[in-house]
Amino acid sequence: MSDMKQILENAMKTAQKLGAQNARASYSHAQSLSVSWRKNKIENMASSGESQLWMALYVDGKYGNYSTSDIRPESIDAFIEKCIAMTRLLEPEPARTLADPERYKDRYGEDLEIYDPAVAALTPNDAIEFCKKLEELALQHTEMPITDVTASYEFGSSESFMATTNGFAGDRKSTYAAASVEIALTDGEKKPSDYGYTQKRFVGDMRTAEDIVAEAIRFLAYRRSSQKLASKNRTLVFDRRVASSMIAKYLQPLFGGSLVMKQSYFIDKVGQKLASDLLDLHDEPWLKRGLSSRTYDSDGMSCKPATIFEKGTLKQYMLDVYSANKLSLTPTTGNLTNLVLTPGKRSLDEMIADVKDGIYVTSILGGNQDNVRGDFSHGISGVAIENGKLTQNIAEMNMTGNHTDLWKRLVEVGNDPREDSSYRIPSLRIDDVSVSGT
Amino acid sequence: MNRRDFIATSAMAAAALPLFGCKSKQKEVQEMPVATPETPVAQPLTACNDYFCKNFGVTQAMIDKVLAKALSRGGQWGELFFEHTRSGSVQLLDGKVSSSSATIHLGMGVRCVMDDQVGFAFTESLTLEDMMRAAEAAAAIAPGTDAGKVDPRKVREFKQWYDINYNWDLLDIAKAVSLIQSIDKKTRAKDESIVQVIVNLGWVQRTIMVNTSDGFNAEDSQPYFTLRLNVVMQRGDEKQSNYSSIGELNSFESLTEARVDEVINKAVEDTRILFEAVKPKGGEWPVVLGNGASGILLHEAIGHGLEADFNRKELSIFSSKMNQKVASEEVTICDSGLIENSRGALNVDDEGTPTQRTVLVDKGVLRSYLHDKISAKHYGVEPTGSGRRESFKNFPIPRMRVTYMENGPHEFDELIKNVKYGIFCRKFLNGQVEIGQGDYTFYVKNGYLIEDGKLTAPIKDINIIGNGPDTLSKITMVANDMSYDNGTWTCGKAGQGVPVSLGMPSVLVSAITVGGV
Repeated sequence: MSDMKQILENAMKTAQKLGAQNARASYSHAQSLSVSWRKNKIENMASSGESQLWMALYVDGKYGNYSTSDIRPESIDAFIEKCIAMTRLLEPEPARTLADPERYKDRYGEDLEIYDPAVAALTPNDAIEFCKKLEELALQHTEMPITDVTASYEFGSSESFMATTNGFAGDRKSTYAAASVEIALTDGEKKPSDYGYTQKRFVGDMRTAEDIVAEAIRFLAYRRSSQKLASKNRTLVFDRRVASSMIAKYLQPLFGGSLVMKQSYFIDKVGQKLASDLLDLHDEPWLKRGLSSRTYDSDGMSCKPATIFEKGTLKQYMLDVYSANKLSLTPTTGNLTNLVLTPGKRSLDEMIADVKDGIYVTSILGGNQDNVRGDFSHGISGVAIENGKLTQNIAEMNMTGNHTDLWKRLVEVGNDPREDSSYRIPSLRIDDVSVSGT
Repeated sequence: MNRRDFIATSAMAAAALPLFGCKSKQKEVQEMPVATPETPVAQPLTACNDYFCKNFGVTQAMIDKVLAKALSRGGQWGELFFEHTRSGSVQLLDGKVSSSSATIHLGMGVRCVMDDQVGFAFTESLTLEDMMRAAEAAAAIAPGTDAGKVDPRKVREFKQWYDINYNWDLLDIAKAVSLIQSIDKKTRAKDESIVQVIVNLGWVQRTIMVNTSDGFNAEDSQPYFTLRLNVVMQRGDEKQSNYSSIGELNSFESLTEARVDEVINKAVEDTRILFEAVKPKGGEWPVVLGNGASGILLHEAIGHGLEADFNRKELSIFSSKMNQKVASEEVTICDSGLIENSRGALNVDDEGTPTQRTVLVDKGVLRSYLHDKISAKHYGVEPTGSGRRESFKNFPIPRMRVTYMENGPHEFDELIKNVKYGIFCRKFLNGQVEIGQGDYTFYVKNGYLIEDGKLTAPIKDINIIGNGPDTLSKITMVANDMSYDNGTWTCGKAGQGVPVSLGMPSVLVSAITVGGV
């Protein structure tokens, strides 16, 4: 798309003409179509096409970042002029710089396989047919008092260009296709629901409708006739669905933004053993067809595979150029891509079979954490585990603890990472967690 | 993916997950006359009249053509939604105002409706050709029969709950810079143990126009701002952080010195007290919710469940409870757009319907859902002005505005005296609810233990989880100290965030599950 490149080049020139010594700019265009299907007809169908011009401007040692979807040439010029005037009113911040051009080198050269031409050929009818199938399959589950099935399908593509005034130029193109089903049933006065989904770069890699419905039905069964258990410390086995969310919560203050704000329990912890040996976490930007695969990050630095935790020892922060400058450290990258936790040997069922008294956690509801100290508290639901067997469904309970000691009690990692997610985190077993109920 | 909705504040800088943040302070205003009719500026909306024509050349003739195209395949009704949003922010960190941002969103969305079926498309280009293309895509939901009817234009007038003539886009940035510099200095002077101060002033000037196929043109311009202050303190090796914020539909000038000082004092005091905080024992305890921000309980425990889209589809735990007693007679719950300058105020919703005060629960009896036009037609009632959307890129769905409970008969002290062991909560970060199951949570940043009828040790960082109808039935006492909260709340549903607010008198709930150790 040469006119996209042209818009980008013009914007950079205008910014420099108007007084920005340096700039980084990107232009992106994305389009998508989504269909939601319910009661044997389309519930809604939405098509979208959106563009954005984004610029980081460095003016007299000062910094601002700006974006607009109004790309009429006269609007862009007026916008940049206003942004430069706004930036001039700030205070200088020497930490705001472009990346060292050395870091633009050695970019991964092979095809990441994140663009599927077959996605461009999809039609609304393909989406509808898949939704119909999801609905039909779900309604075959007459063993459950199903009251509602909502199926959805979405696909899209995006393209972006990025350039800097110190020599970076890059572009990428990607596609995705996703489908999901949400099924609700009657459970006394309650109407619990659960879902199954798939999301892939290539339409041919999507899981089958049978698989998606089976996933929803399996988790829906865990929501029937749920009760609270008594409050006490228990072993928690996190299904892979929620395991990735637990890891994401733990890593939240590992990013430069938190460190610079002094709101992080990871400050001065690189090189220290903070978690059990099983926490072996890697960032893998070059995975073929990976949902977050990429060759350069948002500063333009070339992405490289990285070790975040090695056998429980923290190996690096997630630092973009600004945060690294602020902290007088070398930038790593500000963007996690595909996060891979080294899988264990055993299946989820085998993990559960070993637990005497615990909870298989299938859903986390709300809650939050204190990134300075690590205290957290979240709602959970799932199934009680007694002597290795799943027994009573449970809901409306809270788990409460502190991330700085929780991960020392990570005692098993399953063999079941999910490929529908950027976070390829298998099921996890963590012992001795405070769980409140009655 | 799952049918869950949440509310979150935006006071802590975003990290890896979008849900995190914090917010809010209790507004110490007493005796808000919530039950009496409000007295707004009663005048027709004229200030943004023809904004999209004057600035972007969108004429009435173009609107008529695009609307006709949207219904050309037999759609029953529809609308065009134009939006020009200019937002910006300045941020202070490490004592320096060292970053700014600005964003422009311009575009329009077209919706075509057949009963409960929606066709939708949007464009970021306001040329006739691109708008016609969007209308054609939206029209495809209809069966291809004769064209639907587009009525002649009428201007829809409504009252104003905020100043539509104010324009944050014209803000003198130098004033904003000096305001946040002064906040930093004053904050640091409060306590020697402060090691970091982050101040952010952000604004969103959202100018919209809705043109409905039944003939209404409505325009509005909404001046949102948020002021957020984060503080980190360190004593020895121990660090604590907290925040305070204001979010309103109001002017820069509304940030008076007194109001700013209140934000500073709250942020500093609420951080200091965390050094003494303990964790409660986990389990089911009586919970006293303080006035103001505790409206988060209503938002999660009942508000989302009463959004009519979930009910017309019978997906909500409240679907079968209309006109039934759901709470004690002390409980009256409303959702209103008519709260002057509140972050949840609205002059007109995003479907072009003037907003209103909707009584959801009247003296304990469930009386109304929150309707958009689709659900109102389904139930044969008038829409409640609750059809909202994040931007022109989304179609509207029923949403909350300012959700609050009216005063009850009790004194605050009576509530506390009634509790042998329990907790008192007054500052919150976020909440979430599962619509069908009814389970909800909210996260407490500051509170106290209640022991033998007295407030004792401070508590922090605790999640509370309950079930909506169950909790409502357990509200045993409602105090007479109702106040609105003016925090920076944003409500998320179906991937769309909209600004909302809350209000609450103090209440006693006899039992909810409290996270603890």
